[in-house]
Amino acid sequence: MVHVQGPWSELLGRLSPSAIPNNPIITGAFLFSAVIGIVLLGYVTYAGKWGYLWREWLTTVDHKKIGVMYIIVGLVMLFRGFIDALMMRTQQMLADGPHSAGFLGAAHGYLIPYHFDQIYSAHGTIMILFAATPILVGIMNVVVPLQIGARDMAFPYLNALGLWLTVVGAALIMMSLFLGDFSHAGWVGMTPLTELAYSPGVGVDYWMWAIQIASVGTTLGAANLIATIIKMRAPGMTWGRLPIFTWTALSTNIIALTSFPVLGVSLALLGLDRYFGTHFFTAGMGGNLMLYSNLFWMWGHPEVYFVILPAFGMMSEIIPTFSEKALFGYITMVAASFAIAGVSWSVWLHHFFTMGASPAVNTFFSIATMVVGIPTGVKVFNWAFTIYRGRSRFDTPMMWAIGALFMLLLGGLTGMMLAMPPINYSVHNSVFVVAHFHTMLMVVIYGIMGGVSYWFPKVFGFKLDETLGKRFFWYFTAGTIMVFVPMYLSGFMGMTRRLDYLANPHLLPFEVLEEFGIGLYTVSVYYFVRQLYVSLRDRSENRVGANAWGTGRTLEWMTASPTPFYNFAVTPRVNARDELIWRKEQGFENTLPTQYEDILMPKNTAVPLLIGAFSLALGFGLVWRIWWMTDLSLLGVVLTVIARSFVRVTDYVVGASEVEQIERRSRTRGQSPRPDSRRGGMGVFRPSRSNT
Amino acid sequence: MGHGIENPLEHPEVRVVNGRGYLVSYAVSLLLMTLALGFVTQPALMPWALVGLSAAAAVAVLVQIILLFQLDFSETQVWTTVSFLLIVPLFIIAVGLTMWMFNALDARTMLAGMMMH
Amino acid sequence: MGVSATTASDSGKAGLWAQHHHHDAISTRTLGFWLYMLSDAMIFAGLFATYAVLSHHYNAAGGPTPHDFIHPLYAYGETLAVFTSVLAYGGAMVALRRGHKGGVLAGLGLAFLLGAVFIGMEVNEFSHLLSIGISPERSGYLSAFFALVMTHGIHMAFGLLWMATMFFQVAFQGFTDKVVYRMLNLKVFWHFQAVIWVLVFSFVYMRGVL
Repeated sequence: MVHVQGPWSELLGRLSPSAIPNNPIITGAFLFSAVIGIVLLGYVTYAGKWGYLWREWLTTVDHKKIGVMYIIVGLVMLFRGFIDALMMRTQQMLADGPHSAGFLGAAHGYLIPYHFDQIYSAHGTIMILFAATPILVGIMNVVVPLQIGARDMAFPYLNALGLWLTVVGAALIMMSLFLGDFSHAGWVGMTPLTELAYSPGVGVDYWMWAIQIASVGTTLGAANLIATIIKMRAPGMTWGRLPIFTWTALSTNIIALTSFPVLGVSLALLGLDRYFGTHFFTAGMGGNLMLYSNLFWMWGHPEVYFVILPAFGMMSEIIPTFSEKALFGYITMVAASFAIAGVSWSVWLHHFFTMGASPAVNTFFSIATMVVGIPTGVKVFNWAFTIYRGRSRFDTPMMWAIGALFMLLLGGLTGMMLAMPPINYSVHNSVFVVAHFHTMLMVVIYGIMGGVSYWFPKVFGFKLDETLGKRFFWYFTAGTIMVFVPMYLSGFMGMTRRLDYLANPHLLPFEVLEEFGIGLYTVSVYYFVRQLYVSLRDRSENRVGANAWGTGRTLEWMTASPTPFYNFAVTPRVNARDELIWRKEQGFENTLPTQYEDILMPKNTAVPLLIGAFSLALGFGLVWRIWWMTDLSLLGVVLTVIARSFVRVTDYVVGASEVEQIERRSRTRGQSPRPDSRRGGMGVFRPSRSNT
Repeated sequence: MGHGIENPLEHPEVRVVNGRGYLVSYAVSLLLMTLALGFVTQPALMPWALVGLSAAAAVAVLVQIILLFQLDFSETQVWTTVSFLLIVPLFIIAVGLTMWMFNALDARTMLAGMMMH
Repeated sequence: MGVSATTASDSGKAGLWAQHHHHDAISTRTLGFWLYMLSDAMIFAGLFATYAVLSHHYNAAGGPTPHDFIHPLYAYGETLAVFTSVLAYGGAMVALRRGHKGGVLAGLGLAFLLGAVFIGMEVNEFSHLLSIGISPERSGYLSAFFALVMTHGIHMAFGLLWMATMFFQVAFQGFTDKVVYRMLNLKVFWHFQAVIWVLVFSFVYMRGVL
């Protein structure tokens, strides 16, 4: 065990009152979070909702609720990442040239370099791992079992565990804001900067353990989703009939299953360097610091496709629904998804072409990178041909899907430029690269926003407000253009990324334009929140039936909205690729099952939450080097897992008559079944008058 | 699909276990490891040691995987086999491409120069 | 809509809903665990890649090289323990097929003991290395060596813990669905460690003395 600088005690490790940062910005953030926290907790207590929260959400194993919680965590972190972006843009606008003013103790702008470094590190880490990833995992969680006609995931208990481990990661990052500091070494964690000698504080430890714990959750979730898709399909749901989103969920989770462990290895070895003084990535003593980049990007690049493939899947669901036409080129779409997933495993060196490997190596990875363009191009044409001669409707989800298509075009073409080593050498580490990968991540965000508005009525039983949704879309798109087009230009002019001070005052106009763009983003965030609020307020006018958009094609649109906790009263038998369209054409749209049967459902359990709590203590103990805490919490995890394995009965039976009652109620009211307060259903937003 | 099996011991994945497979796998892999040990300890065999060792390891791994995990394309085991076949190239890519790029890198940086001494 | 529509609808009904559809819980569980083991394989891929990069002469940083401290013959003894433990677990699986509880317990017990022998040998080896100053902090090479071999060792130790748990579950709960699929999963876990050990023994221990 290595010795660390500064005080250390047996009881509290490195924790001391000086760990609380003394900075007006952070104090403000703390007060803001504290007020929100107190209001939320106060509301829950005032409304007497603790029991409800515990039974319906914290201990649930229902894949839809777990998915919704994933999405909520992701949206909260997306907001945090957005605030970071706002702060960075403002700093870069203020700190231009030697005559720019300084505030709050900074020589230029209002952020000292160390604080600025933490902000961009947090922004990247949060946006990739704690916003995009959880939201996508959440959407897959909600949608995949419904699309394949399953009652739940293959392993509902494991599913809840994955959620809570992700929450622990997010919680550690939020903690780092108010207790200690965060990593200043970029979201990728550049070695040897992340080594103890150069980052003696707890920042890198927070970054490392937050990612490590959350990535365990993502890996478990991936195994769960793959097993679900292989084993839990309804009868007749052959591979040739599998909805395209489920296909992309399968390919993307194969990526997650195989790449996240490598991330675990790279961070664990870094951890050994920081805690035991080993020499994996040190600059001397036989370490190899490029080995870290190698291992990190061996995960990092597949991760890029992990986030983009589900977005492609959502576009492939939304476009046919709003074009009222079957997806063009189903088989090529599936093949393209798997081609992208496969090639994603042999392109990672393009993140460090400038390492100086031999021309043969760079050429191999350059060609492999360009090859990705082929299946992606296939997808773009398939979407275009789906829209061609379709009956297009431009509801909000469709707007997002089309927007994603344009982002993909821009990001893909600049990606082709970066795939060439000679160009890459000249723009490496410039904001051109930053603009490129943000455009690609915009595909993900557009896909997410489209997917959320598309499946929202399925989960909650009412639509999001269209007018505000479109306003949100247009402000968001305007913001994207205003921020990233100037960024491409300034990057091409040679502006380096991660600058807390711009020495060249000629870059100021670009920074001003980008600041204006982030202002547009801020307006769009307002419309997003307002959209949620208005839709919630007017939910009784926006109620929808099972087939919320009227032109849904796949299984999920056959069951009530909001979906009852058992998904389908009787498992559907699948006859066609677009089952609902097939049933409509055959005149079976309203044919109901003639008889109901007992359903076996998994029981709620608090065990995943408990393991999550132990993991939080473990992460906290590791960050602050409180060894008794780490030992006890590790022991707690192991004992809890063993104890849980002795529980014999983990399921319960819902009687056929109860199912029939729930179904009949849902039909006579023309809406969804009222959730059973004991066992679930999406009851959170039910009208207050029905609250007994 | 194995529906409606009441007794878990009747499950095809339990039935698929066979004692002879275990004995063969034990004998073959032990023999191969002994052979490999011979390659690295007998000076006469040294020139072929790395090849012999790698071949022995590869065959031993293959024999163990096929016999111990009962990989085949039967209805019971097909997904086990397919998912395994998908992971093998990734394992080889991860290790192989890394070795390739770092060998190339070392030859072009001062590390190789240090090796000369 | 006449008679034909009704008939179509009636004949269609049989094909619209799958009454009494159940999933095979055991094979779902074993597939899920197999997928987890594949992700575990990628952990070892990362560690083997690390070992390959850090096993050059200059990574020893002037400290001990594999020639100085690796003894393939001792590791051969460990190999024997691992392989025999797997064989013993195979005995337990054969007994499980026959529903023979005593045989399962005996096989588990023997596999546990041989696994413990392996752990004991490894602990002995490492404590000897540490006592003569060969420790992971010495050089990049030694860091990689210890990380790879100890990751395998930690897996073995967890396997032992799992085996002990299964011993109790088989003894007191009998062959329920849950116990049976856990036995199948533990089988995969334990055999997987043997496969990894073949690679460690070949490319760390035997390759090390070349």
